[in-house]
Amino acid sequence: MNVAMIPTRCRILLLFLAVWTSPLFAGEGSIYSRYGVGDIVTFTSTRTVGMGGTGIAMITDGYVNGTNPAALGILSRVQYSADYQYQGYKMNDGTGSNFLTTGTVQSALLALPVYTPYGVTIGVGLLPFSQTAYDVKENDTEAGQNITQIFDGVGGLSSAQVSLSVSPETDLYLGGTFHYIFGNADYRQRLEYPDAGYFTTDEDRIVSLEGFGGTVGAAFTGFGKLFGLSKEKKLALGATFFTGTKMDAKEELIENFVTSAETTSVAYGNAKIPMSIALGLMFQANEKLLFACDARFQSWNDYTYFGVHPSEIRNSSRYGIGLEYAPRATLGESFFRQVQYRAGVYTEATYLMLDGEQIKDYFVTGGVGLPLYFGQDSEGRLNLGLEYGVRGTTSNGLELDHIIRFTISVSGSDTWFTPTEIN
Amino acid sequence: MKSFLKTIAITAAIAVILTGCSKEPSAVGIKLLPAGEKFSAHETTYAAFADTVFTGVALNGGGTNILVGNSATVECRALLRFDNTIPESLATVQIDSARLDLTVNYSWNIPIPAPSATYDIEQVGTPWSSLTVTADSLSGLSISPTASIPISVTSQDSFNVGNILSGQVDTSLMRKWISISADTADTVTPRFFSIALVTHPGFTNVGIWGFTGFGTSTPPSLTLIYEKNGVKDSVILNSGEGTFFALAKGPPAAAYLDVQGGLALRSKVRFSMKPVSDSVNKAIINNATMQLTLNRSASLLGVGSVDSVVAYFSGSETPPDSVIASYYAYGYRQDTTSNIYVFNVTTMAQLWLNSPSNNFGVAVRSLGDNASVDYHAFYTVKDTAHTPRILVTYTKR
Repeated sequence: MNVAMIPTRCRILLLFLAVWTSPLFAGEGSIYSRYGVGDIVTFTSTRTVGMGGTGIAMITDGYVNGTNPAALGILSRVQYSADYQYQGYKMNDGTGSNFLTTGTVQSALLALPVYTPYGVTIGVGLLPFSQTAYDVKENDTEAGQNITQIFDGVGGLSSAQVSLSVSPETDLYLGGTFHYIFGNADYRQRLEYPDAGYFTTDEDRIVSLEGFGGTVGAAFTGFGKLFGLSKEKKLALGATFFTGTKMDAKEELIENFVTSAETTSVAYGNAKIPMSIALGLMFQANEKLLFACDARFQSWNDYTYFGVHPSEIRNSSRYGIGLEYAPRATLGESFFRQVQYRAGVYTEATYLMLDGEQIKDYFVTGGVGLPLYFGQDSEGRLNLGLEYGVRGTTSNGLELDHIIRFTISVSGSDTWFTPTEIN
Repeated sequence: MKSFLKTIAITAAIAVILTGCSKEPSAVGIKLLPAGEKFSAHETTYAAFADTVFTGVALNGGGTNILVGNSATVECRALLRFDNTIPESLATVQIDSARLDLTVNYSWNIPIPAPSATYDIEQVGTPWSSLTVTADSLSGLSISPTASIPISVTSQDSFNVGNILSGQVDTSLMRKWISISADTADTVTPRFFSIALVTHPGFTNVGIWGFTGFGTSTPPSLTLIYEKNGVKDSVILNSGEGTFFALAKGPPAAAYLDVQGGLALRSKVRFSMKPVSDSVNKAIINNATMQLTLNRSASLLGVGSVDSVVAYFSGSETPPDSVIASYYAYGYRQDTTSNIYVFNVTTMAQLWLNSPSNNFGVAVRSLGDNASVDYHAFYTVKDTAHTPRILVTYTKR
């Protein structure tokens, strides 16, 4: 079946169905995600996964920037994207190692340019905010029985968001995003006996969070002109500020007794997610080569959960740099000349400090954007992103994670709402 | 790359394959759990703090067996009621005979060798229902002799399970039933066809035997053989209700925790859950096993019944026979040489722990409570060596 035979709206529907009906919602990963609100997910766009996760200042047409709403102002056509991410964790705690995997839907984004002369674009999307996925199993002997203790957690926070951008002046883009951050995590703990006649101790602590927040973003792409660079070069600076959010929190403890499952406690409170700022720089050397770098900071020292700041949570920072090489200059070129090649690195001092040591990670990334279809009015790409990195250490009783992430995303553009010309 | 669908399918397949590479969870990372986060498993065994023996209400109707006979401690009398419609056409025929067939299914305390004994077939003139009639009802029933030829037993083989014992019911009684059935104008006399089976006076300690009741594949059957116009034919009555009265010949010995069917002799055992209670969190009971030790020589179990008892969640301090029937545990020997009956009372122990004010213990009944007179004599709390115990495995944080 040729793609041209599929109506555009059907393509989008298929794309979303393929992603959202995926059965791959496994929940196995590192024990680090048990702390705080889970592993914080820094996700900018499906395109920039391979570019060290940069993108604050990536003000280019042809993709949806989920982090900086100002970047939507440059879009000329409707853009959409969705992705699925596989993560593999090879974990070592100094006494042994294991390999666990998880697969999750990362995001779905849609941007609708409303009035392109002034860069007015509305964006909607669902993005990951954090992820909890771990599974630990220990065999032990207690009370004369060979018991098994199992700890597993699954869940995370997502951001359902609406963005609006505007470009009041040439090269200046402003935007804002309204976030509804929500989600829950199920921290389950079990104690199993080898004898099937024994009832398994099974306890679920379910944490549900929801709250509203905002992000304001700005970008200026005219530095090239200011610095007298040639016309094909573009230098942009971007910044975002996330207001943080005070989330309603509900914590339920469900204990399974042989008689029944009982909710033995329910607590209501708040969780305060702190503000963050991010700065980015983009340099487009020519039509084919683009560099970007980002720096992010989030004041997790202000994080509280039910009014208490967990001692293991600290301020976090993240730095990334990436590039993209796109040989294609014109339509109709060979497949490989239409492929986009991406690479990057990033490092993060995560918000976790355990046993006096801040957990850090270091990643190298790479990716390609494969053309799915091209037309005068539409474009589709299959973006593949690969990340490999390490997190933590085996010293101080901690865990060293070798992490590999493989992101598959589909993005495209179309000319919805554009009136058909009548001759 | 021309097919959009093909691309999606291939990439999704890659994701599936990659995710399938995951290993089984292990202990890696367990060290990062905060101290005190793990559950701790515990096991404790302790004795019951109280027990008692009581007599419940013996509703023996509807059981698999109907008992008759006597021993030094128990006497049983059987009641049968035939609910078949007797054809009006029989009003004009000659009844040759009426044979009562009963299929042996149980025997208890039959002396060896079995003594000769006869069991009289008597007529019952008072309506009764197996759902309500008890030994206390006996005095209110009109039971009178008939000219029936009693069931006669002469050997041990007669009590083999599956054997059929027969007696000849008085044909005048049959004629009476036919007349009542045929007289549609009579709306006063109840259409009620019932007989009783009792041990003939003078036969003592002959043992107790049981036959299969109505609703089984071998119900009691009453075959009427008649002759009409010179041709012999028969009608079989084999549906109805049956029950038996078990009458104790003295009070329980009180030396043991007595459990006996037929008489509704039952015992209650109580355990405190304080040894496993937790002032902060509810402990989770993973397993609780009650152990009752049988005095084998003092007990007397029959042939053809299951050697088991059942413990119900006791629902009240008084009356002691109040139980919540949805919570029960069978008690059985783990092997035939053991005298210890084990009961899985995990659910009940959790209920006692969760709600100590509703901890009234367990009420132990014979599994054949309305189908046997099996007697289990368990040791009481006074016997420290064999006292009722509970073994509890539980989890706390």
